[in-house]
Amino acid sequence: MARKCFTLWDCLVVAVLLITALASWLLMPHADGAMVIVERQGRVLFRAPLHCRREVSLDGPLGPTVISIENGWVRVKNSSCPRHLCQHHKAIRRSGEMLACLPNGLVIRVAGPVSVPEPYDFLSH
Amino acid sequence: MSPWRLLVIGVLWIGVAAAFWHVVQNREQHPLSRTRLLLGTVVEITIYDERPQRFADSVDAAFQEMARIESLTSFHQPQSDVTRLSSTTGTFAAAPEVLEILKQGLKISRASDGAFDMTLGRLKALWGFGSPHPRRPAPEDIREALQGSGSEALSIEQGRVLKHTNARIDLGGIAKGYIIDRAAALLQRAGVRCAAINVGGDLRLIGRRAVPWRIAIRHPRHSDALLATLVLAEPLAVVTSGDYERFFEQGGVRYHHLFDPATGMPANRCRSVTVVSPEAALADALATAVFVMGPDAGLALLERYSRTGGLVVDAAGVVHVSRGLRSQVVWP
Repeated sequence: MARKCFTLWDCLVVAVLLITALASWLLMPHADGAMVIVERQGRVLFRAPLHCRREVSLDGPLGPTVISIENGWVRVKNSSCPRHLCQHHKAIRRSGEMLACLPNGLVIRVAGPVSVPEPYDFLSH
Repeated sequence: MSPWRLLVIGVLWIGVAAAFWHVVQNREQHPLSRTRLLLGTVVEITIYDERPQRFADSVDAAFQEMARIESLTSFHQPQSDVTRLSSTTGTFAAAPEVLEILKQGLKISRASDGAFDMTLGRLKALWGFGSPHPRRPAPEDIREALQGSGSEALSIEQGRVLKHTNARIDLGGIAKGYIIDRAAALLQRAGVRCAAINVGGDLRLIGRRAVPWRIAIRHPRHSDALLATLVLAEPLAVVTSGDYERFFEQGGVRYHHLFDPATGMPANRCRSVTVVSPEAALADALATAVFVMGPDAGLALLERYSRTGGLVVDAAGVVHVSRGLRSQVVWP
């Protein structure tokens, strides 16, 4: 009588291995793309994907700050602060880059994961 | 068992092991990052740990410590030690933190022949870099603002500050670094083994990583470009001073906020200076001193300090790197 190539036990072992591999993959944190995170004194006020076009107005002690996300870049479009330095700062897009409006107490940062890893951990300037 | 069965099960086992390894790696690389607006800039603390969330309270405590020392050292706050010391002549009982900063600052001031100077408060106010309309002052006003300044204006005796002139104190070139060091010490005491403190581009790294730290340096004339990347196996502080951070142009001339104490004018020997050192306070003060001294004398000064090096872009745009740092620089 010819022997079977795979027994029931073999199938069971294979199934357990496949389920374990699938569970590992599901548990793994996935790269959803970079996010824009807006904080005030460590509290997150707003969070949105960098790739979605959006405009949001956030109130601060001096009035609103309008943040624009467009074509994978984020910038301060309008601000009620006196010197508008945040408005004149170039748009950002890389993970780890930040914009701030000191008078209105806002920090805008891009957080990974990103599809292309940055060639450095921090920028000294 | 047949060879085919062995092969299939073996391949599956390898696949599962690889998947688990990937999960573990991802978890280890997931840092905790928190930001605050302090010291007139964005402060970011990043913790690298398998469970970084357990240090969230320590990060908050580090921010509080930074804010507390800022309130002692800021010349914007009327009740700070620095403001009160500025308006005093004679003996002053400063907080231990301020005393420590002044002690270290005076040492660097002497070592740099006065290129690092904590007594330029009046000169800096005269140029108005903190105001919406900075301007080039008249030469006689500059001369007057420099009167009474210099390291001989201050001394420390028996734990008290002695101020011999009416110089206004400005710890802008060292206090930020000292505050970073204090936050780093607090995190280390709390058990943090790997972290980075980033204060507006001035950095202090804590702990070694499996891969070296990669610190890029901004090009002083092209804001989107990198000058170089430092690959550091050791956890060090990296501080950059440049003429591009705060400046205005008048009559086609760039006037920036890093002053030569000898002339009262913006120092003109460098475009940017990056200093790498074990402590941020030392790196901060040395970056200012080297900026004033220029590449030759500046790099010679850095050689006198242990595990300290620098990268200088001179006024013509030529890059100079200290001997000990050359093997750790990657050019773009």
